[in-house]
Amino acid sequence: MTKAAIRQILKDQGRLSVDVSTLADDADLYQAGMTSHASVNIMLALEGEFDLEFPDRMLKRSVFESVDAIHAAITELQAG
Amino acid sequence: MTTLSIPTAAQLRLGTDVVWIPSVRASVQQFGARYLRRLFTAQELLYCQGQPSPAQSCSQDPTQAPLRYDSLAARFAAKEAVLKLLRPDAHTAIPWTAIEVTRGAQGAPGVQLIGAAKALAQALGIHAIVLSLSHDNDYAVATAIGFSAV
Repeated sequence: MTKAAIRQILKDQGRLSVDVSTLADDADLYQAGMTSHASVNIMLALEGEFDLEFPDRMLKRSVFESVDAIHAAITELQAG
Repeated sequence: MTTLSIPTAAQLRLGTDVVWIPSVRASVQQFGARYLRRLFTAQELLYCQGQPSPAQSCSQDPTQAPLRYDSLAARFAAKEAVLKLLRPDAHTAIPWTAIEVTRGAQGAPGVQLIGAAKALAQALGIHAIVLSLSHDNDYAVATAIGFSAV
């Protein structure tokens, strides 16, 4: 369910140039058209959806570069 | 006779960014203080609180000062422009608040780096960054040039 929720947020906030449903889990979201400002909105939406906060150490390109990367970051944060 | 030293291309780093101002307004409407706090320092927010036209103000709380979305957008563009000249790799974390747009004499914008942004600039030998901001209608743009000694 987490990846589905991530994909929905990408669809709602990402302003990608391609259909999110066509992207593989490891597809590069920046290559798919995600801008820096869109990544901010995605981050904030993820925080609201999963009731967590990305710490400063996670504010890097690699955390938001794919569905897999986002999922791994959320899993890490949820594990405490 | 004074000799003018002109930087070589190797001593310059350039970054630029453009932001669609309505997207900043929409983000403030959707995420509120969380958006503002993650992107902007207290000083930046203080500068961006002004007396905008009724078309620009979207404050839901009458106790809050209305925001100048064009200034916010220009400052976000500035942060991205500086990040582009710093070129952090994908595994280097630099919070947006580590890059602060300041306001100097005669209103000229400047940049103050802290934390990871400052560390990266020092590692690159960048000793100065100059910044230019502009906005027109729905777009804000920023250009930053970094100077290194090497």
